[in-house]
Amino acid sequence: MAKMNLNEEEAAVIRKQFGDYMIGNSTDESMFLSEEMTMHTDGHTDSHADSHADAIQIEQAQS
Amino acid sequence: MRIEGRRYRDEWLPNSYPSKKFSDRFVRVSRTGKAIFLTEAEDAQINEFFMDGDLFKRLENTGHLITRDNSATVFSNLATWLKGTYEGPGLHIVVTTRRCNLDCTYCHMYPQPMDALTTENDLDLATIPYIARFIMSSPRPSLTVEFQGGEPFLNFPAMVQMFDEINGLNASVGKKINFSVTSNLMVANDEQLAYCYENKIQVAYSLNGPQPLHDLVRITRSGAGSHAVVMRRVDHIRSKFPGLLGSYPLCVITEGNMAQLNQMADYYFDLGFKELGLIHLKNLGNARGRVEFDVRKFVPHYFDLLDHIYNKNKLSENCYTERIAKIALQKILYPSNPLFVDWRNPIGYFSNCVIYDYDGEILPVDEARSLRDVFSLGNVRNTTYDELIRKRSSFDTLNLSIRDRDSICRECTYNPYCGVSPVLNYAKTGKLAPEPHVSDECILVLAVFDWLFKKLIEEDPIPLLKMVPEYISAVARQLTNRAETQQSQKPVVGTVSDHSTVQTINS
Repeated sequence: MAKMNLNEEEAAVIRKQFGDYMIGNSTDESMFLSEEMTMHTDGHTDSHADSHADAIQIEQAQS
Repeated sequence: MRIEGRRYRDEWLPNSYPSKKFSDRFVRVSRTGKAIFLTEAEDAQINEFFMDGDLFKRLENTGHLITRDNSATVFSNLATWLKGTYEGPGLHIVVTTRRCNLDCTYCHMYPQPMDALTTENDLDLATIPYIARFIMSSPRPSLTVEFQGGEPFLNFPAMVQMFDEINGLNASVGKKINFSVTSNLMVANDEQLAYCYENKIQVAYSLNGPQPLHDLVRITRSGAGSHAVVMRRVDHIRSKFPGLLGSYPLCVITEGNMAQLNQMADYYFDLGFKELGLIHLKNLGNARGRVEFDVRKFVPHYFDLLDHIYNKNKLSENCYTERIAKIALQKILYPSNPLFVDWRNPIGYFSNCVIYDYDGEILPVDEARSLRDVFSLGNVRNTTYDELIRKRSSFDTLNLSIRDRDSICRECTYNPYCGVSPVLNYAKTGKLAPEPHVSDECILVLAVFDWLFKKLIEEDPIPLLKMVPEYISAVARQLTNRAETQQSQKPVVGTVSDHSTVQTINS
């Protein structure tokens, strides 16, 4: 099970970013995930392979 | 008469659905799926003679208004939101047999006994090349071929031949093709599982909670439960073929188990699963008249479950999630509508998903398998992908799901997030066109988004965002990386609470 390891400061940054995003003040919308990462949820058999694909896409998006 | 700093109604077109109030905030969702929180005074200005310049800028940036300057961006965002709708079907479900060793009370098909005639219930090997050609005609570069039954392993030769046919055709094409099979795990032998393991054919399965709940519904024809056997098979397959099974089992909710959702969540959590794969009962096939489900009774239990998971995520470093809420959050957070074929506006029938029944009959979704006389699109032996994709009538069922067709839905805050099924509506009411506040999907969508937005506005969003683990782990990892980079570059440790330290996931 993936650990988040969010400390309080990190959680505060996410809260601030999320708040800014939701009131339309975000200058950093790509924080809310790249387009490529949205394509995995396909129908009926959400699978381990799909989860693996997510991880790869996150790494690619970050590189 | 124009005043500097104000913007007027000849400068914008509205591009959002009506707002909904939560506490002191108003939620508005744009036609490209973006949600925004406004104050009452801000929300009112959308329907007034002029608007403050600052608010105009915010709504222009988010695409809630279309202006001279942002129209190209808004249309680009629209294409992104609808991505996956027009690229060709991606999910191809092949039914290898109608025969099954189980006779689950909630089955949405009409499973036939194990000893039923194979000639009348199994996919004929001679039909497979037709299906393979149809599948490979989809222009989408990435395809998923899913085997369903009955119990698909009862016609294993058909799975093997389909796998070979597809790969043969793909040799000169180079599409990315994923294979999966939905099984009850009870009849597949190790030789068959090894074949799946070697060829990366993912195995999805069902586990309907702890033994007393599972054995209420997943039974043999003599009424015996299957929980003990399934658990033994799960343990065996996990140890012998690690990674072969789907990351979490699917679980159907009926009136018989909806009051035990929290206990079921804990059961899966204790077994090590990180996601709960809930599906509500569909009034189809075996289930008709045998098992009940009332979405209005389900919703209060479901809210209890979501609170239960929220509190788990609040108290734990780990992420635990539930599939319905996760997809809903993805709709709020992502620039593209998640490609979940059953929950889109428009729904993914035939545009995203094609079913090939045991005799080659083509259907727009697997739920239509027990209603073939209404929803059949033809047969692979006498029609082609090119013929069907050009026919307006191929999209008749999909068209009925488009929510701007209905005046009530045009006034719904959550219109872009909706996903109603004409097939399920027909099964429930005898009418093809889904009706707002009658359709189970409509009722559930309204309830889920109300709950999510209330939580996002009134409480700490972090435990909720942890229900999309891919999102929060990516952000957390990035924050850690940036903190480490800062630490290595500076003699004095900086703070990550500085807004500027978080750039972009893409950077």
